[in-house]
Amino acid sequence: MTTADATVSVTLQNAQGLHARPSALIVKTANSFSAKVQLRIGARSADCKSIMEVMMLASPRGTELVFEARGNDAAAAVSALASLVAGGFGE
Amino acid sequence: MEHLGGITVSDGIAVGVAVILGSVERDTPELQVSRSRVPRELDRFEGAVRDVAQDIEELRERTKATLGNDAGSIINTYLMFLQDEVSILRPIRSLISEQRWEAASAVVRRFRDLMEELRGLPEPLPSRIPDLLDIQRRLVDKLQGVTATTHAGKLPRNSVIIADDLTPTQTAALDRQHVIGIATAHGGPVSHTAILARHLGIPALVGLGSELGRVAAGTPVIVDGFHQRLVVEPTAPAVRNARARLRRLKNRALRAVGAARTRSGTMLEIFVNIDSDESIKSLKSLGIAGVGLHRTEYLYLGRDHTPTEDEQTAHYTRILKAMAPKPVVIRTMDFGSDKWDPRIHSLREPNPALGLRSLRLSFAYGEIFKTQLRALLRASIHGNAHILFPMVSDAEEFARARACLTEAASGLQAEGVSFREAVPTGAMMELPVTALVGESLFAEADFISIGSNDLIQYALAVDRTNRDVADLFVPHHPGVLKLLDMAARTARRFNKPITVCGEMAGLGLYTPVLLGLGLTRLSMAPSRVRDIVEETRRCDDEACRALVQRMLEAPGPQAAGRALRAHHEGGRRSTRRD
Repeated sequence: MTTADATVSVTLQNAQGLHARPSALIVKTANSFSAKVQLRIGARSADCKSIMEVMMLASPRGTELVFEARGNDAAAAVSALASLVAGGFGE
Repeated sequence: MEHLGGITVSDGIAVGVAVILGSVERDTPELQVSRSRVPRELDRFEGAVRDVAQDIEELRERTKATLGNDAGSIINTYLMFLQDEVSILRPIRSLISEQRWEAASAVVRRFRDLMEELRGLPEPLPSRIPDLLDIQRRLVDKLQGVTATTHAGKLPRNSVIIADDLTPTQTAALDRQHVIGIATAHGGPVSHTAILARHLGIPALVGLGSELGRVAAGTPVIVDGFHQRLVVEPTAPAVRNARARLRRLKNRALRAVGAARTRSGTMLEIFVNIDSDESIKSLKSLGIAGVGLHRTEYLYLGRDHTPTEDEQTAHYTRILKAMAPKPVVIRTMDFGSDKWDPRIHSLREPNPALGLRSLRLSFAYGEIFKTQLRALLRASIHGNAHILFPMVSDAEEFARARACLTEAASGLQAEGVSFREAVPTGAMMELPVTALVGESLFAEADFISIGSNDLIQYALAVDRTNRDVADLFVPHHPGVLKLLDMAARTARRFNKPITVCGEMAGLGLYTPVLLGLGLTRLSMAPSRVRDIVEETRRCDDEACRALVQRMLEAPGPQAAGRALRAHHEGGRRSTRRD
C-alpha cells in the first residue's frame, strides 16, 4: 500500500496490550468495512482482516498503532478502529 | 479375527459394528494429485471451510445458551481463523493449485507452518496453538469424511463407537438406542467418560492404543469387557458365544439384590448415582436406600439450550416422585475441568482442574445457578429432596452457597410459588482442605458426601486421565485414607450422615476399607450394587478395622496395597462375574 486514502495513529491504552481479544475486535471491526486496512507498528505491519497477522503483532501497552486504509470507506474504517483502540477495547 | 487388549471401564459385552467417531489418530496426509484433480480439491477445501464454520457457529450458539455471551464470544475468534484470507485460506489454496497437494495435505502443511511460527514467539502466542490444532483437526476430519459429532439418526443400530478419546459431552450425546459399546485408544479407568459409560450401562474399553486407528468403519467388532479386549472381525462361533454370554448377563442383572449386611451384622446403606431419569423406575425395585447422587450436568450437556426452570422442575419432580419417600440427593451443577467443553476452558485456563470450576463456576454464572436452585426448590414438594453443593472448600463457602438458596427461596415466596421450607443441604468433600477444616463445615451442613475421585486427584496431585501418571492415582494411599478417616470421625462427632459417592464406593476391592473406616453409606452406579452387596456379605467388621489400621500405618501406597490384597486373598478366592 503505497498511498493510503486514510491514516490514523493511536496509542494502545489497555493494560494487557494487543492480546487475543483486542486482536479479534480489530479483525471484527475491519471486516465490517470494504476498505483494505493495514495496521503498522514501527517496521512491522499486518492485514487487519487477518487474525493471525494481527495477533502476531502482539504489542504491549503504550505502543503507537498506525492504521492505513484504502478503498471507498477508508476514512470510516480507520476512525472506527482508532476509537476502538482509544476506548481500550471496552475493557 | 484379531484381538486388541485394553482396560475395561464399563462391564459387559457388545456385539456390533465399528463407527469411527472424532479423530482416531491417523498419519499426516502427504498426498499430491494430478493437475486435473486440482479444481476438485479446491472445491472440497471450500466446502470443508463452510462446513466447519457452520459447526463452530452451532457450537457458539449452544455455548452462549449454556454459559452466556462471554463464552460464546471466545468461539468467535475460532471463526476468524476460518475467515483469515491472508494467513490461512489463500496460502492453502495456493498449496493446492500450485503445488497440487490434496486438500487435507495442504491444510496440514499450512497449519504446521503457522504453529511452528507461533511456537517461536513469546507468550501468549504459543498458547493459541491448541486452537489452530483444533481447527486443523476439524478441517481434516471433514475432508476425510469422519463424523465429528454423532446424530442419532445417522448411527446404524448396534454401533460400537471407536474413538481416540471421548469427551464427556460426546459420551452424553451418544444415543443409547444405537450405541451398544465404546472402544477408545486413550483414556483411563476413572475418567469421567468411563464413569459416564458405566452409568449409561454401555460396555466400554479404553487404552486400546494406536492400533485402534486401523479398525475401519463398518468392521464387525465385539467389545468384551470381561476379557478386556476388542475382537475385530470375529468368527461366527465367537459371535455366537458372545451373544450367549450377553443373554446370561441380562437375565442376571434383573434380579433384585438383598440387604447389604456384613458377617458381623452391620448394615450398609446402599444408594445409587444417576445422571438422568431414564432408568429411575427400575432402580426402585433394586431395593436400594435412595439416590445418593444425582449429577445434573448431563441435563445441560448435549442439548441446544440451557434447560429452563420449568424443564428442570419437571425433571427433578419425575425423579423425586419415582423415588418417594426415599431420599434423592441432587447435586447442583458441577461444571469445569474435563466435564465441560474443553474448547471453552482451555482457552482461558492453563490448569482447569485448579481453575474456575464447580461451585466457583456456579457463583460466577449466578443466573444459571439461580435457575437451578429455584427449580430444585419448586420440585422439592414432590418427594424427599436433598440439595448437595459440589467442591465446597469450607464453612464460609458453604454459607455462601446456602445464601444463594435462601435468595432463590425468598424469590419464590414473593411470587407465591410453593416449595419445601427445610430442604436438607449438604456439602461435597472433594478437597483435602475440606477434611482438615471439617469441624466448622460439619456443624453447618445437614450431610456430607465424599467425592473420592477429586479428593484423590487433589490429595495426590494426579490427573487420572493422564496415562503417564494414571498409575499414581491410588485410592488406598495412606494419606488419602487418613483424610477419609478424619472425615468419618468428624461426621460421627457431629452425628451427621456421611456418604462416599466416588468410584471407590463401587469397587469391591475397597468395600472392606470403607467399612473399616466406619463409612457405611455408599453411593454407586446401579450396575455396581450387586457386586458391592455380595462383597459386603463377605466382610467381617473387626477384620476390616484391623486392615484399615495396617493400611493407615503403611509407609506408602505399595505397602498399603499389599495389605489390601492380602486381606482379599486371605478371606476368599477372588470370584469373577463371567
